[in-house]
Amino acid sequence: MKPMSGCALIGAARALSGIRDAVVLQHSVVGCHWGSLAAGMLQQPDNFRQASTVIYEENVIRGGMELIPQGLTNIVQLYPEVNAIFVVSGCIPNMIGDDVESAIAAWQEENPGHRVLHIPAPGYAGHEGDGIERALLALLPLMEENTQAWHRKKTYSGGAAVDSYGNMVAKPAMGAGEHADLTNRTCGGKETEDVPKINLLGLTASDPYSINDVKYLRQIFAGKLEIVCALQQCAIEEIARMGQADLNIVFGRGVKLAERMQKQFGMPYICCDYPYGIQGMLTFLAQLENKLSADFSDIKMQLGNRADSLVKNSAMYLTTLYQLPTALVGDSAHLSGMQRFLQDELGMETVIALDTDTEDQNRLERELRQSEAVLLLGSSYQAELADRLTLPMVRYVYPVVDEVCLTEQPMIGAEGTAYLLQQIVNAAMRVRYKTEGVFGGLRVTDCGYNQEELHCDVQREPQCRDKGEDE
Amino acid sequence: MNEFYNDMMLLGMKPFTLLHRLGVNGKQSGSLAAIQEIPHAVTVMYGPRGCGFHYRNTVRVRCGPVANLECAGLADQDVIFGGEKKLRTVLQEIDREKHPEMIFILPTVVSDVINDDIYGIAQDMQPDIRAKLVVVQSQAFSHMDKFNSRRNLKELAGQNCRQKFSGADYRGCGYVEVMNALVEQVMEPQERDPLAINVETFIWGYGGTKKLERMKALLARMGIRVNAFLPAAGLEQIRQAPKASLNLVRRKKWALDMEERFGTPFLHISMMYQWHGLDGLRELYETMGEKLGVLPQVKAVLDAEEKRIKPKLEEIRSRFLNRRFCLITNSFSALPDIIKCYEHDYGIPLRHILLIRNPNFRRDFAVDDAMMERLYQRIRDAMELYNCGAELTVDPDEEGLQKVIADSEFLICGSHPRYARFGKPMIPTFLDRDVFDYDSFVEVAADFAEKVREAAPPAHLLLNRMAYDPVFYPLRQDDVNTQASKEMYSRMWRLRKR
Repeated sequence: MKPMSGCALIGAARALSGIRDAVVLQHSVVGCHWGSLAAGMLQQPDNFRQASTVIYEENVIRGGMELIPQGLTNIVQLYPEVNAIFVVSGCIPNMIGDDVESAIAAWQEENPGHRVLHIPAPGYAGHEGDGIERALLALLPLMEENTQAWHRKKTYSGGAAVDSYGNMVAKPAMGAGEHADLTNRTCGGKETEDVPKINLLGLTASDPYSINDVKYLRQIFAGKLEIVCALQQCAIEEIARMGQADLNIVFGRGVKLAERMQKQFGMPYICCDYPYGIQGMLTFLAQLENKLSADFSDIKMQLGNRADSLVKNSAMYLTTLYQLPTALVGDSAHLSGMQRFLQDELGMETVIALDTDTEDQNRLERELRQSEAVLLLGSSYQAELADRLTLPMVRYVYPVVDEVCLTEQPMIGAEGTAYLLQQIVNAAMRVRYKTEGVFGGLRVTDCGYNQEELHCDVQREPQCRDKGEDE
Repeated sequence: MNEFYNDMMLLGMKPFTLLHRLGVNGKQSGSLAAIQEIPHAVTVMYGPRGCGFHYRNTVRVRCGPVANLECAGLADQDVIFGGEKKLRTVLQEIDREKHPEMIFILPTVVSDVINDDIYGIAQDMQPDIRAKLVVVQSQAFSHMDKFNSRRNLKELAGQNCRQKFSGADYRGCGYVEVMNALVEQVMEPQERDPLAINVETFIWGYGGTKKLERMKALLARMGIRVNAFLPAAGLEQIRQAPKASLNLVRRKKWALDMEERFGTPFLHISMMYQWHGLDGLRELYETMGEKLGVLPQVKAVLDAEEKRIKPKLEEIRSRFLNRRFCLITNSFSALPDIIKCYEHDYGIPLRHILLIRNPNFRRDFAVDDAMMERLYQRIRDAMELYNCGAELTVDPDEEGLQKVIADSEFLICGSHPRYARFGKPMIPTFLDRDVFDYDSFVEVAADFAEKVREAAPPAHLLLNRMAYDPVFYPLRQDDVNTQASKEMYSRMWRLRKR
């Protein structure tokens, strides 16, 4: 197999990488630490909050428990503003039977006042998506205490109000210690208390453009809706307040957490396609309007206007893309949204759409060879395949390791639509196509065979090399 | 195309320097670096899917992500019952569908713990598999032991500043593990060609291909043939590697193995910059000539080459006279060789040497007072030996730094941007520009001379807005979390079991 996504440990580390005041301690070998950093670092290159206990030979024999208190002590000494530590344990501690929970508990007994949460994530026991789900679930205790306190205050204050579903709810006590900041937060001029609140689940800091996307959403929601917590870029305090939101928005991943929050806090959730495209964003806004007392009519009008100008600039390309067969891979947070955008808004025919968590790149290659696809959207991991098959390619989904975004460019909304279209068109225009002549493929090569006949997946040197001519 | 600058740009765009501040990758990345050099080869990572995924984004493969990497995808039940069935299936599939010449089976930490007999499985399957199966065997768990670098430094400190270093066998380095597997499982006894050598293609610095091409051309003039570049060779060439009468190597563990199995002697280039300059070139080729019994032919070529390039070199050297250079470096151990490189090899008069130390150097490398004194003594010896009249300043404060730089015209400090703020022309160091032929040597000198001009340095550099860490480029001083992550790695690994 040639996996298109990593293991549970990589997923867990990714899910937690956007929490600005937390540190991830991987209880595993050093390669896991490096691998998870390397695959996502270009999206957030200046703030690494991850360390490894570096399990080594001696730990396989004697156990690695002693490394955990060492790691935790070092973290509280070294990181200036750490509000939580997530211990993510990988394959080896699970195989050798390290009792990570006990090691953490013992350390906490001696070092009270530190939040430490354990996420068991052996890589052989799940894919990246599983790891993300597990890590998100592990956040629940951080919310529970705060949410229970909030509910207590609601009861005592008696300050009931009608929530966005028409239910009677109480508001948090103004000026109370842990919520004091809320009184100062405004949302486009309005007190944030006045607007409905949501959480965004499913995205990670290592998802390309995800940090820009949440900035963009905060901008367009200003005065209408508050994002209490977007897990791709947040603080522990925001996670603690997640229970106070009116609705969880789930982009592909985080369903388990949303279900638990619904059960424990009575908070509903909706699963949404990632809002690529103009219509994607309109649909997303409509879903929010449908569930919350929010009115996005001005934004929808603006989107419509932006769509008109976008079409004006790109009319020629839109007609070219219409009905073109295309292939698509992506994770569960992004795949369906992108597929809908390509089909519904660009009119392309997605002949292949594979989920990176469960599918294999060898299958992608087999299907691409048999398909009519002329464009591929995916991650850097498909770039070599696209090169080999001379397919223009757009990187839109994790891991992107050969492209950076140094601007605040979002991938969603009107700006994102124009950008995506631009990426697709530029990818196609950059292909060096039929450079050997329009009918060059009919020629027999100097080496006496047609390269196309090789049909070998292994990158072969030119045949003349095999004949020793380079010597 | 200038391969040196091209390599510099394309590798510089990758974030691996930064990552190396925070840890190292598992040894499989080194293994893949070796295997990627071999055409028509596929690798099977015998581990869980995460290993098969993240190692594709490996450090040493410049084109990345690695394409020909398959994975057995070990899951829960394989950890309990063994993964043999999956390994057999994946090997059969690859052989049937991809038709490689070689399939490398790479162990992972998981397979090392469950301890499946991979070699036995491969031997059992080989008759039915068209591709040559090569099992890479773990010499260490996960990655190389940290004591390598400490041992190396200790050994180096004990040597005088003219001795060539040849320690470091790098047991457990993934690259070395693959080389050992090639020696043990692919190479076969051959009739010896007395004038053929093998050249190892590993870490020759930026522009390495051109360096070795030119080395090959120079060797040809001496009557010496390159039998194989290893591991950058096909199956048949690797099989016939023992034809060579000498191995020129960067890593000696596999060369020791090959010497033992096939009687092939080797010449170890451990630290390239110790072979720098005209005398370094002469020593390199004369040592090879001596080992192959063609010393007179070698000497004749070297004499002719030196004579040919000397006028040009003298002209270039004259441009350095009476200029004031300040060398800025972090390296204790390499400084004696760097001094030789500038003062002796290129005739660049150093007025100042600024040694900006890693504040935790002694702690990280377990350097006691006696060893520290030996390292300083090597520097003093080199300065005396190479007539270096520079003033050596160690860890100056800001005022001291300003004073030294004010007294200098040019700063030699690589690409470290920290010193750009002083508004003095900055010149890259030579360290990565060790070359192995005479034309290249002159070209590097000319390139350096070209930069010795009094052009006003850029006045509005964006990078001057950043306070870079004085030692650990590209870390920034204010990036406290990344600094903490770097220190975490030191504490959790480098300082363990001192």
